[in-house]
Amino acid sequence: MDCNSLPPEGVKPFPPTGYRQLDARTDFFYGVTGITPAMAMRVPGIGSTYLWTMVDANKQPIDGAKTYKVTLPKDIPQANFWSFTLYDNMSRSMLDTPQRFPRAGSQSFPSPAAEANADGTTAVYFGPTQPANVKRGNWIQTMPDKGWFVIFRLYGRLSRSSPRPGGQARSNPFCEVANTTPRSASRFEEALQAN
Amino acid sequence: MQQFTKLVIAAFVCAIPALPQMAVAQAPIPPSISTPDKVESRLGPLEFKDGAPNGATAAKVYDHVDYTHAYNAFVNTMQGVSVAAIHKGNRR
Repeated sequence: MDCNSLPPEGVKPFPPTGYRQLDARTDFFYGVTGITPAMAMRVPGIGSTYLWTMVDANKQPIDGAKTYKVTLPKDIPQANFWSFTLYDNMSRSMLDTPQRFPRAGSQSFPSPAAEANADGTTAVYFGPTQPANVKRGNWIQTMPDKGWFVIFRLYGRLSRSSPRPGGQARSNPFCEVANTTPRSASRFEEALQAN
Repeated sequence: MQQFTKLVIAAFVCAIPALPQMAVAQAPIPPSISTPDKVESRLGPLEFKDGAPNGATAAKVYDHVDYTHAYNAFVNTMQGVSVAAIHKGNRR
């Protein structure tokens, strides 16, 4: 099949799962009010894939005061873009922080694109302060008194056999990072704060 | 000219909040759509931190959901079980 076109029969949603997912609608509607067929199909290069979590790798609720790190494998399987976006548990709207745009990803607007490491992996940090030696585009600010959840998006998801974040299938890649050294404010930021 | 200068200054000041680096006052979230730290319910008190349930609250609510589904399974299948029992009885 051409990687950039729909199959002749159109969108093929996943088969129904009957009573095993009775709570899925309730759970979904907690955070989401709309859906598109592109979310429910697997057409390489066209469909979109969403992964989300409210807990970290140790199954603990994500804490706004803590710092977490996710390392994405080399060759993130997307044809259009990938991104992390943070949402406030209280409003299910995007997390409201001084950073203004609670996202990191391949796109360079409205905040800089995340940069890959020398080995091709990409590390993204989530925490109240920008850790030392971490680029602006690889850090999403959080608030110590706000709980958040995160959605990872792959638009134009490529092969299903691509490596998953965290390595093994279905593992949660959100690892808490202890004692990060905050990055010192740049002169530009200091100037802005002084004004 | 002075008018024009004022306009330019006004335009510049208006543009500043668009800078991502600026700290902007955060909009309050209406309490009616948020999750309080403690909710009194028929299951007893439910406790949350920043919108996330603690372990005991999550376990309590999952038990409740399981019980609800079990109740539904019972009341929605009792009719079929009853009719099947009639058939079985008539065969004897």
